[in-house]
Amino acid sequence: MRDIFLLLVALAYAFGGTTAPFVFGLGYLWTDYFNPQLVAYSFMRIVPVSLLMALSAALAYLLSTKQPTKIVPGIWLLIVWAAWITLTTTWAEVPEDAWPTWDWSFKTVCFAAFLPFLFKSRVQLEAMLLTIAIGVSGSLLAYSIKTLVSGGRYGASLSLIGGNSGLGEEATLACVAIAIIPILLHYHRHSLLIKNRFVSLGLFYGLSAAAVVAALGTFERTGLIALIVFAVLQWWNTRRKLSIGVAYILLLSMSGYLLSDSWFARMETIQHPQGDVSAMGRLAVWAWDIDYAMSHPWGGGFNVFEINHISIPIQNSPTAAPKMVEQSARAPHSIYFQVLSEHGIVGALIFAVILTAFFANVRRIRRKAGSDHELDWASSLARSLSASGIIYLCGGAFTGIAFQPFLYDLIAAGVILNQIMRNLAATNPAQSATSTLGGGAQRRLTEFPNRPVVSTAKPAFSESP
Amino acid sequence: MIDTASIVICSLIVVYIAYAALRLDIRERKTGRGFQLEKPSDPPIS
Repeated sequence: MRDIFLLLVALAYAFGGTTAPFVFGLGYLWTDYFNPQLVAYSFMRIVPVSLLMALSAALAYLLSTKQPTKIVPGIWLLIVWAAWITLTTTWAEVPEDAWPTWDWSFKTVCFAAFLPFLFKSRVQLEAMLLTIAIGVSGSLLAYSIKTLVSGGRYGASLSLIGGNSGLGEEATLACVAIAIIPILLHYHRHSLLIKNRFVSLGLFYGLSAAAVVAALGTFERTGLIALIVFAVLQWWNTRRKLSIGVAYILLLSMSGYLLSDSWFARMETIQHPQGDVSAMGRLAVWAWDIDYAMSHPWGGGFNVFEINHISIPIQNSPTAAPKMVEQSARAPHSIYFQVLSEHGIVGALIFAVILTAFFANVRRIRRKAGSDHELDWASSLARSLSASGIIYLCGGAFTGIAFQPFLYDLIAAGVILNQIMRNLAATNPAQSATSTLGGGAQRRLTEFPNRPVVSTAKPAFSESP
Repeated sequence: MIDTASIVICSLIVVYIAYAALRLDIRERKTGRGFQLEKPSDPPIS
């Protein structure tokens, strides 16, 4: 029964995709985040929905497009990154494990580079981001309800998706769950697709609350770090700093009643890692990653951590002598050290440029749209994308999620938003020359993603990654 | 039970989002306007 239901959902996407290619893109994103093949029981486990959606999206785009989308620097950077991770895999230290990881990582980066070709308008971008958020919510809704029922515990594996990869891995789920909250909150205020205020309130705030419960219920330190970063960003971005600050203090004072002692004991290892093998192991493997990158600046390919052998000093009490624990094939559990060891100093530089370009892009959009009341949605979305990126990258400092699709889809969303803003400016070049985006409210708010630009006037928004 | 409920709820929402977006997208292409639902009194743009 579940398989038939999932098949019907896939067919609904396929049916819609015959009308507009972006619906195939939504189908791909649903497959990527919701993982129907992992929650199915029988025949849907072997149907390559993701592959079919990706191929259909590419084919539909090629057949429907009359004016190909220009490849902007943001897309070029992703293409360079895809090429570089392919190169590093050719000289991988552990090729038999590197190539399978390259397979899905390469697809993730390439499809993110393809997203700006499919999604070109505000409505399409909203559908894309909401599909990602709701796709993630499939896992975190189940996780949060089970946490409320059982109380949660470390390693409880309450996720909808089994296994230890993607959103089935609890640190990843905790990080992504918190990272989608700014997007959900943005669409509570600015959604074109969900107009009913009560539905919007229930859906977006309900899922945000579920995300917090799920992140806490994983008992992952990554979740707590992501939550703290989210709280700080929310406080920083709000005008009601006093009331939000008071709400935080109230929540903190109630946390002792809401969270268990075992949760607090787990989180305390952030401050006192000396007695925790997991925390100390990370520090030891990060040192190994730096040493490896210094001696191998071109990187060791995916899963290079499998060749490491580290000694972890564990001190159970301040007076006791440290005990050495030996471990091999210890994963770095950090985006930055993962990229540094696997793709070398060159890879780390490319990765840094991609991230810098993303934040510069959303900052530019905010600056240009920020003063215009009718472009509040763009300013708010740029701020939300930026906040999601910061949360993901801070949480990712303690878990190896450098190639999870969420990061690349955020980058693609930034590129798409920039292109929408350029189209808005280009449809009204006379006014855009005298003001940020022109004076006419309706014209500014009108999107013509596929309309050829006839004016040679310089758009208000310069092309950027 | 919880898993199945999550699957059904989230799948129905994403399908609704896809079709609401498709409907708006088709309307945009026909009218050349992106925000008619937000500002119903706005005059059409030629």
